[in-house]
Amino acid sequence: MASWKRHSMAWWLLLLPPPGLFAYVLSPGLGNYSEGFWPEWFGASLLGTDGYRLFAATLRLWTIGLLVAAAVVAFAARFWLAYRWRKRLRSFQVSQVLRFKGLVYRDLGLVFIASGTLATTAILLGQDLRDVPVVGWVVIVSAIAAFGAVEFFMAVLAFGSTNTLLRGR
Amino acid sequence: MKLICVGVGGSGAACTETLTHLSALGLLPDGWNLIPVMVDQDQQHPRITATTRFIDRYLAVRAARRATTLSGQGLFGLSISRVVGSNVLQPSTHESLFDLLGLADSRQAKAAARLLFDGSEIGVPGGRDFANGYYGRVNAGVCFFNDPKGRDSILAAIREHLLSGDGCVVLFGSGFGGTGAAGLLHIARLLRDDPQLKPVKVPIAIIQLEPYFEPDSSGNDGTGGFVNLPESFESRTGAAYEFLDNLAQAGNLPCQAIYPLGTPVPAAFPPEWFARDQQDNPHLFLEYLGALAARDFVLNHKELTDDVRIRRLPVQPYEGPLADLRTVLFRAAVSCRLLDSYFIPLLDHVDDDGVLPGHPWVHRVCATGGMTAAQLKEHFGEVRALLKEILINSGAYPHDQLLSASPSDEERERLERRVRITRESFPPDFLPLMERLSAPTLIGAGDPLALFDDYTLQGDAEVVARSLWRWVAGALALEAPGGQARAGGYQLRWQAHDRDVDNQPLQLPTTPNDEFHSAKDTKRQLTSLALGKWSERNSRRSHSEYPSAWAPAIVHRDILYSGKARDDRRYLHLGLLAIAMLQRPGSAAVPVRLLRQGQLNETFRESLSKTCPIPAYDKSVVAEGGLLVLFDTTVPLEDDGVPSEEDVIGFFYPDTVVVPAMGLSSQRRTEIERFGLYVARRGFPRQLCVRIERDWVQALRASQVPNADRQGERFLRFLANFEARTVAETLPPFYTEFPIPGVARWIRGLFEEPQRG
Repeated sequence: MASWKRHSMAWWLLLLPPPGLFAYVLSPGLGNYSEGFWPEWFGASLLGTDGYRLFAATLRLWTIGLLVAAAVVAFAARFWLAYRWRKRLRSFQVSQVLRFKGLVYRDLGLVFIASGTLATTAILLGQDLRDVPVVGWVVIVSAIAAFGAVEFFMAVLAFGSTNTLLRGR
Repeated sequence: MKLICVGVGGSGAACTETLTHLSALGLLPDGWNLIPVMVDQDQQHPRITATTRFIDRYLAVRAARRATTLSGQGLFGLSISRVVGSNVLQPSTHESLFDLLGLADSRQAKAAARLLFDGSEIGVPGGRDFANGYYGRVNAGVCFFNDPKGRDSILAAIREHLLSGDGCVVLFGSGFGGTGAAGLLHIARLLRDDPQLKPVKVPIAIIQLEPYFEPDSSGNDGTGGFVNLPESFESRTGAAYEFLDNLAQAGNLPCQAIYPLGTPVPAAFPPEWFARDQQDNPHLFLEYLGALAARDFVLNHKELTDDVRIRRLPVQPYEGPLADLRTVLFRAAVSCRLLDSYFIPLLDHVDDDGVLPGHPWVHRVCATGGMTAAQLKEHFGEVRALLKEILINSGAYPHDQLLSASPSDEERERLERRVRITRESFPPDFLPLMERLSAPTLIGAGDPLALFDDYTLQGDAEVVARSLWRWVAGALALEAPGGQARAGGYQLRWQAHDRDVDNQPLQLPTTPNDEFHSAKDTKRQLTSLALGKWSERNSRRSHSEYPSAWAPAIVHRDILYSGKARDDRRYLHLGLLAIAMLQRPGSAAVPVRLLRQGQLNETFRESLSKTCPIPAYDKSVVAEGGLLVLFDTTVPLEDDGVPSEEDVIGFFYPDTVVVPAMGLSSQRRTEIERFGLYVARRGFPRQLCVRIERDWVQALRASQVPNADRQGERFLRFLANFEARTVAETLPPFYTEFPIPGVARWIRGLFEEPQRG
């Protein structure tokens, strides 16, 4: 492997903060009701009721599921990016291979939209989160979309080939 | 190891140029150093200037990076050395035989020149008849090659590379032209006989091209303006093979291997391309095979001894060296296309820090070699230019991509024709055609993210394109041509099914694949090649065909003994014999003078001694060196006087005893013919035959004349073939003493009284 492909493990650490942040807010031992901060923010009307524990567990499960799905979308998008770039390079047409950064930013937006769409669809179709207010839905969808986008970008940086392609060195 | 490739003449230079191109693409094995040398009187020949220009640019590309001493496989890995500033050597600074042979100041030289050359060859003082080459005058060409100045400079330039003992020499040239035919054997002998090189035992190969182009006969004949008569190409090739055959029979071949290369169907050039100053022929496939022959010698020279190496015509799918050649041309085409349309334009988009997102190789390559993107672009541009030149020569580019901005109809037509001729000379589906080439399709298997991955400063010395070349080599998926395999044949003019001059099938070796193969019996092979119907178009041998100043003697012998000699030649010969041997009223001695070599200038002397077909020159021709001149004058000549050039009529030569002078006037010729007829009717041939037959062959043997038995018997048969005396008159008596002492045994034998019983 040539030196430009040699890659520091430090880039891989960038993948950890977003899941870490979510792990923190979802962690069951934390918060006033020991069900984590996340359920407390979106289930204020249920606080102190018998159904709160069930709501918190359900919300945690859904959120983790959506986070995993968004991460899968992000990683898939990263590999798709590398595949498409290689294909463009094989055309050996200058006009096709000048905007790698543009391609990355476009994919970043696509992953954001795809993750958000995924979260919206899940919430709309699922019966378990009816107690979450509309504002909460918006916040959760945005958070999942941002998580997917950030994970995509971190994956681009974490993998040596896309990292060097992006930086051009 | 060093490969010294010497291109003699125009075709030789074309082969040298091709070998240089292919070597730049990595066709030679690893570790070899190429030293191209071109020898030609015409230093401005387009092939020579093009090769010199290419070498200059090649060396500049390497010098601009850190590759001056780089020696490795792959693109531009080959080291090319210079022998002199331009790798071009000139046989002689003289441009006319008159000046070369020093005829202005020497009565002796004039007389000797009159014997061996005709008036049109000798020329005039300050003439420029041979300023641009020897144009089919092979006999004159060898004299120029014997100019001591030129000879020493050629030898010195080549010798220095061979003294270390790790070199071999390949000589390219045509057998049908003038310069190549004159210089090939000369240079080979020069190297073989050089005292300093004797201990080194330099491996030498001669790659001799048969006629591979000819004038297009579909138009007018237009032969009037030809400077190098193409209708005599075949005849001269036959003469070249005959000469080689003679050397082989005498065990005197000056090389380890001979590669004869020809084609059953020569390329047709427009007649006007043969005119003076128009000799800028397009490259042809045979020149690429010449380069492959050089490669074959490099690979196999240790196993070769007096070999004749022959190859078959290309057969699909191409294999062995042909497949290597095809692959290397496609690599060049793909690399050139990528540089042209992709890498060079891409580098315009690199930012000031040398960074281009999506293409990290740019920054890495620049950082590794400490160059800027602009320098990298410049390097790619230079490499592209060299690759393009190589491909243009091979015919890969269509003519419409080579035209100038506003081409004339004439330029367009000429270029179109050149490209078409080059392309048609290659086998089907062999060449990459740039107008149809799809680089992405051919290298679809390669990973573009791995481009320049293997580039290293140490291995590539900043020649970044080498890494691209390796990537292309790994990615190239070249399909073997799937056309119908054609029946084999030989890469020669004549094929096995052709008949030789004796109507016998030609003996050619079996060639089961696309490699070169040695004939089992070298002597027989050369004889067979010489016996091809080379003379079909021009049945009379010309003295200008043989690479020897003694060519008139060889031609005269061949015609006289062929059984097809006309009466005028037979009587001319008989007349000369009679003048030499029969006492004439008022003449007390044989009308002969010895033109000693010391009376001639060095070039003339060397031309006589070095090109004499008889190895033991002094013992066989005349004892003390020189020429024994027969003269005929009405004015008495002093004993040590030299006859004027108008009075010399012939010279002594062992194969036929006497040879008529080339410069004999038609009036003098007629007189001698009549005299021959006169003495023939009076029984002179029979008398002479009786007089010498007993001792003749023995005398030739004692004089170390090659093939003494055969030549002696042929002469006796020539005499015996004349009718017996038809007129009652008697002949004058024979001279019984030869006036010059110390001559060869056979000459003395002619004049001694036969012993009775």
